[in-house]
Amino acid sequence: MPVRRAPMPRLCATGALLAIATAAAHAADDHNLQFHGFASQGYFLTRNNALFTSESQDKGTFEFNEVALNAVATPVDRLRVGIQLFAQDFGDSFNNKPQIDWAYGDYSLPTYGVLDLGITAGRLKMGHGLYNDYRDLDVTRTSVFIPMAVYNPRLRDYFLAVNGLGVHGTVNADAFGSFDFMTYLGGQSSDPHEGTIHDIFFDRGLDLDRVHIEAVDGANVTWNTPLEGLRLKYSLFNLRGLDVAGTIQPGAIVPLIPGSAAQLNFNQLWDTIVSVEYQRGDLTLAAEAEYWYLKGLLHGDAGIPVTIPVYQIIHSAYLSAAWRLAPQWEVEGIWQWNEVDTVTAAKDKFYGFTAAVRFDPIEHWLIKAEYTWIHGTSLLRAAEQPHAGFDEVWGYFALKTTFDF
Amino acid sequence: MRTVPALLAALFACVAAAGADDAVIVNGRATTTALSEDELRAFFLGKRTTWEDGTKVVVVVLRGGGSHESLLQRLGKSPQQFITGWKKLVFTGKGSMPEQVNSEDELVALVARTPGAIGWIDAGKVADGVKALPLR
Repeated sequence: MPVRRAPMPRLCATGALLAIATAAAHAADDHNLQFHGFASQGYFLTRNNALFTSESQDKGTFEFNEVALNAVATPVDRLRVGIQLFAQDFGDSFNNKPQIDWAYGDYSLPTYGVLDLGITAGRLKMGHGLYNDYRDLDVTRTSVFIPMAVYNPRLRDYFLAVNGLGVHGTVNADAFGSFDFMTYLGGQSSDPHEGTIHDIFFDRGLDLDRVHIEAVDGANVTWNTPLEGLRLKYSLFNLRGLDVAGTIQPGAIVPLIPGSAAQLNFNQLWDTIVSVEYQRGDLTLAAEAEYWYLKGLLHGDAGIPVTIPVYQIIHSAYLSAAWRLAPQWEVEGIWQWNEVDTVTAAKDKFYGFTAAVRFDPIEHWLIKAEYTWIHGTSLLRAAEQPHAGFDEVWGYFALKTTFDF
Repeated sequence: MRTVPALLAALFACVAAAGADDAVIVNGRATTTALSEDELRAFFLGKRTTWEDGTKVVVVVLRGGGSHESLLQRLGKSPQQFITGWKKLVFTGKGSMPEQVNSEDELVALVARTPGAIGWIDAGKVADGVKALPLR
């Protein structure tokens, strides 16, 4: 079956590059065109289990780097256009394949009373949760990884960006603080042969050859409370009409004939995050709780045609506290928890503790390290392990340095 | 003699603008006549990127020094938090980094020649080509 690929990212890129080139011609001498980027290199070592590559266990891996380059311009009043190219390598994933991280135009409408409003189109960041938009940006946090319980790297593709339209703004509510909001509608393309969706189904015994997503929509609102430094956020993400098809593998978690074709139609896939962050002086406290819900029907061959209900529910949460000890030094502690309930009989879960330290020798260069101790296996993939089965207690160490300009 | 009330008014504006020692200044052609505390925060933290007339906001800040520290204190941000906030905007395409200069004279000169520019300086440094805005 032919692979369906949405042309939207390429259209976005072409459009954004044309816009940037046009803007550059008009704006190079007018503070209107900026280029920025960052590059990072890390080392990742796990104990007792492997994560993201079998090489992570015991000897560690340097396949842990990122590079990004962006350009933003204001070709005419109220209109901002920009694009960011991004590539990363993390174990067996991504392999430095360049991708368009975001590429969009954003038009700011005149302020209307207490309302500031903007309209944006292209490949957009969705603002899902406190930190999804900055998950690749080391400078925004102390730890190497944002808590994987809520920001699972395996679900990264879902929450990275959407190709479509967005409306965002701020409502100034005087004594009640202000409210920032974002709502979006669009689509996502997904490669059936690699990435998030491929891995999720492959681990459950379905080797995909087709993925189709009908639409993605969502919204989030942040209340910047009158208490200085305290903000609360609610985020909702909704993926509509996810249909996948592929071939059942031996050992699949459903009783279908290996080698037979199967199709899954999901009528519900949504994710919601409740967030709170409090920043006072050099202290930043954050907590988030996430609920992921996926439900659908599996059509396959068990000797006779069958239809099997499938679902996945994930509960996750974390608490974090970061403290800037000195202008160049920052430390952080994180507790996180995650529980995955799928069509399989047993629930999978983990909880863990992280200790992290960050050093900023100069404004544009940082070095950070963390150790995370984990009890539980819901982050792990059998396909990545150098041995059979999982150890319940394991951990990882990460060391990373990042430059930005 | 009509210049005397004008000078007094300008002096009053400088003092009232941001406190006893500092002033928020904008390009001399700006149509805005005053800022609220919320607007001040929105401009210097990159949440508002255009002026009422549609002109792009160009934030100009000092690399350090007393006036810059006073601005950060007003915004409730440490130097690290201020820069990190702007990098969040820059790396998600939601803003452009502030122009950073080394001296208040440079800051005034840059604001004076850049439409849409806004900066924060020692009130005594206000000069031709820029205007100090009172805070509502």
